[in-house]
This record gives sequence, structure tokens and C-alpha cells, in this order.
Amino acid sequence: MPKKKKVAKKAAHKKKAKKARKGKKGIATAYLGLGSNVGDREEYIEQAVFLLGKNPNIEVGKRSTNYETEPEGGGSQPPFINAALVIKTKLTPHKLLDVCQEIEATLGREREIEWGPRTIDIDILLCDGEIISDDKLQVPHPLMHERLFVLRPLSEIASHLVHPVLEKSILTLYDERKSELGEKYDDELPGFKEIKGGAYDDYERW
Amino acid sequence: MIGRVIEIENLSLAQRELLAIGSDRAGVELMAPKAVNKVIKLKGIKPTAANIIKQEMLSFGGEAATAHGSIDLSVAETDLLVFGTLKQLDLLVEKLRRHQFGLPQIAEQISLILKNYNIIPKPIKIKNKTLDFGHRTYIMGVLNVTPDSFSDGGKFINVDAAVAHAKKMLADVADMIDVGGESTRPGSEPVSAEEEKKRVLPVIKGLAGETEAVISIDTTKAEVAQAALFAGASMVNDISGLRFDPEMSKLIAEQGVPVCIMHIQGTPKDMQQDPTYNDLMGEIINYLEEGLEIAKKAGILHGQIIVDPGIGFGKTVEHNLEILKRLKELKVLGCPILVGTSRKSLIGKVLDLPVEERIEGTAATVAISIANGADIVRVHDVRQMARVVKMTGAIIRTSTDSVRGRRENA
Repeated sequence: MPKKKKVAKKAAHKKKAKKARKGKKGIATAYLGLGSNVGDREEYIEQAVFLLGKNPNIEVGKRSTNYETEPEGGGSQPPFINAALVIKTKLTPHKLLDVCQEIEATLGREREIEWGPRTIDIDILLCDGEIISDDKLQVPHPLMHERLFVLRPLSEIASHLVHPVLEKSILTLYDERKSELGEKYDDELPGFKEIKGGAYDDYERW
Repeated sequence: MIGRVIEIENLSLAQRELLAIGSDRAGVELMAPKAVNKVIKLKGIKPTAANIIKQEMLSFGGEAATAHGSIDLSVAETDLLVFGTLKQLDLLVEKLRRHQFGLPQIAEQISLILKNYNIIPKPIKIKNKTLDFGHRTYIMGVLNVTPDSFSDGGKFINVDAAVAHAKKMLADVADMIDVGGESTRPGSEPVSAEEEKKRVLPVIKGLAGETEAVISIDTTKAEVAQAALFAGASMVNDISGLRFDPEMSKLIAEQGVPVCIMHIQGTPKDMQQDPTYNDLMGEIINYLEEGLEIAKKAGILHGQIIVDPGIGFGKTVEHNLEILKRLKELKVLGCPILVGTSRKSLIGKVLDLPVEERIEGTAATVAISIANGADIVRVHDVRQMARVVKMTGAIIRTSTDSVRGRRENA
């Protein structure tokens, strides 16, 4: 009798372990690109990260430095603040897109002009190794490998991550794009400015 | 006096001195390698090979010393000291490449040793920073988040106090913050991964949220490292040199982050119970080399690895002092060198002072470490040590040494 009990207990254990593994599998790691070029841009980025973290199905992780970048699309637009963020989420990519759009709406982005000014823009750049392409969502983000304002912040937090379509690491994509544009040094990219929050930005180099 | 002895340690100093007396430019190229002397120690060489090396070196006007029994082949193996100018050592390498008896392999080894010894390690990118070695020494601020360091009065961590302390170190110009949740002091008990995460994660999150700091996670556990890297850390500092947790190397390769591997004899709990070495520097280098091998197998790039001799980790005071004196020998690994001496017991023992009185002693060790090749120093007293670092740097990084992009080749 006691023997049987033990077996039953073991089986229960096994079941539990299996369930746990499955649970872990259901958690995806996603990389988001954040951008804002209206009002208190850094505050909008903060707000977006805060709201993402408030969602019970999202755990917010590491974030890149904020970069100020000149807009690519429209001539007279004010410059953007761009950053990249990693999250863990139980949501499917489409559900995650809904959440992002909700936050964009909450923070007042009006989707009027596609390339127009925006209080906050949240793009899903990558989601594990998934490749998705329908009329609502494209992952990996179809333009990410051409955009230094995406690649540079993303390379800070995920340099080794491999782009599932192009099969190159983020750092490689960044370096390639940089040299395509004829740039050599990180700190001399045209239209780029690192926004430093730390207290050591005026540290004299020697 | 019509003369004096001048110290010439490397090729660029030799070239400078030659140019200073007006040597012909073509002559400088030819003569400089003859002005620099090096002694290379090779271990476990077969007597046949050792004898050939000795003979070749003698023919070039150099020397190679073997164990007594090497000449009549009465020993199975011998250690070898090969001494000569860079020119003679180059000639030796060329000659050995055409021999047999494993000599071409030894030639490659010697060639690699000389190359590593003379190059400046490649820059390492961490987060938004590039550590450009050879131009200055970087400062890693220590943030121990253990209940005895940042207690809230009970057994919990006061996160705000820990983050505030890290910010203070950043304001004092620390280049990065090393956050650790497990005490590695001699005799300390290990803590569980759960407990370690509970301690470090809130602090890392807070720090990553409020500053641009480069955060390093000081842990031996892959589980802790993984959570910390997600929460905001960008580098791993593993005092076990990838040994305690077999998952660690895999994780680091996957995440593509830089890692610092350290030498330790034993574990923090038992490491100070009569540590002994037959060949201190040789054993440390061997251990770190094995660590590099583990890293390589897992797919970690050599250029992402920093090495640390592990001052105070399974070493007596005499061992620690010898390591600081001979730190340069670690350059043979071709990696940037991190040294952590801050407030450690070797200072306490030499000066007979308690931990809160070790700042000057730490300053001395930091200065010597930098003079002997340290690229990163791990310290508690960032404000004071930043001055020591800057001052020492001003002395040792003379203009010829610090010409940007200069990569010496022996």
C-alpha cells in the first residue's frame, strides 16, 4: 500500500514538472522598438515602458539607451527619441500588438499620417524566432534591418540575437548597415545623439 | 658618468630610443627587436625537443635552460627557460617550424605567446559603451547586495539604499557596476539561486531603470545570470571561471555578453584552508586557459572574455603579493585583465588594519596593478581610486604607448 502511494506521488510530480515546462514554453521573449517625437518625448517612452510593465502578461526587461535621431521620412518633423526594450510575455504576437496599440492610443498617438509625428510608437521588432506576415502584423519588423535608429539601440541589448529571416546577428546587421551608409564610428552617426541619463556623461577621457 | 642603463620593455620604446640617438630609419626597424629581451618559460617539453631548442638558441647567441637530466634524456619531460632578444626568438620560431618532434607546434606556441604579450586586447562593446583598452584603465564599482551590506534592519535588502550607493559610484565616475548577491568572502556559505535573485534583481531593475550604467552580474549560477541579464545587466562576472555551473558558458554564448572569468582554488567556503601552489603564476594561467577552452567549446568569442587572477581566492598573502608583482604574465592569454584587491585581507594583513582603514593600501595595489597591465580595476572606493587610476595612467601611458590604434607586433 505505501509503495503504491509513493508511485502515485511520483506520477503527480512528473505531471507537474511537465506542466511547468509547458508553461515556460508559453513565455515568449519579444524585442520592441520605441519612438517618440512629440512633446516630452523621453517621458512618453517612460510611460510606454511603465504601461507595458503594468500588463499582467508582460514582464519588462532590459532597455537600451535613449537616442535622439533625425526623422527619415518627413522633412520638417522634429527629431525622435528611439530606444529598444526586451520583454517576456505570455501573449501571442497578435495579442501583444493589440496591447501596444492600446498603449499608443492611451498616450495619444493619432494614426493619421503614416510617417507623421507621433507621441509614441511601439513596434514589435522580433518575437523569439517567429516569422509572421499577415495584413495586421509583420515580425520581424520588415524595415528594422535598414534602420540605424532601430539597430543601434537593439544591438545594445541583443547584439547576438539572430534575425530569423536574414540569419544574421543584430550586431552584424548594424555594422553592415552602418558601412553601407559610409559610416565607421558609432559616435559619429549623422543625426544621432545619445541622451545620457547617468551622472558620468561629462567624464573626461584620457 | 658618460652613460646610464635605460629600461626598454617593448618594441615601441626601443624604436623611440633608437630614433632619439639619430639612428637610420631602416636601421631602427632592424635593430629594435634586438633591444628587447624576453624570457619564455615552456612547460613539459620532451628532452629531445628541449635539446634542439637549446642548441638553436645557442647558435643565435641566446640561451635555453633545461632540467639537469634533459641532456642525457634521463628525464621524461623538462621545463624550459628560453631567453633571448625578440630577434633571436623570432629566428627560433622560424627555425623550429621546419623541424620535427613536435617542434613546429612549439614554434606556434612561442609565436602566440609573444604576440599576446605585446598586443593590446581588442575593444569590448558593452551596452552603449566601448571599453577601448590600452588607453585607460576602467573602473568597476562593487555593489554587494547582501543583508550585511544593505540591510533594511531585518533580513531584507534595502533596494533604495543599494541603488543610491550605485548612483554615487557612477557620479564618482565608475565605468560599470558589479552587482553581487552572494558573499564570496572566505568561509562564506553559499546561498540558493532563489535567494540570490531576490537580492539582486530589484537592485538591477532599479539601477537599469534610473541610469545608463553598464551593469555586471557577479554570480556563479546560470539561473541568476539569466534573470539578471534580462533585468538589465550586460555582462557576467563569474568567480568560478565558468566551473561551478556547467550551464553558465552556454548561457553566455547564447546571450553574447562579455564575461569575466576568475581563478579560484577551491570554493569560497574552503579556499583559505592552506592554499598551496607549485608554480603560482603557471597554475593560475593554466586554470584561466582551461576556462578559455570551456568558453570556446560553448561558443563564446575570445574577444568577449576578461580574465581575473582572483586576488584572495585561495591564496596566502605572499601569493597575492606575488601575483600583483607578476601580473603582466597574464597577458599571455591575450585578454584584458581585471584585478580586484579593494579592501581585501592581504592589505589588512600587511598593514594590520581593519577593513574600513584599507583605502591607502588599496590605492597602492591599484597603482601597481595598473603599472603591471590591469585594464579594469574592481573597487569599492570609486572616488578615491578614480584619482589613483588617473594618476597612474598619466605616468604609465606615455605618448608613444598610447598612440591610438597602435598594435605592436613582436
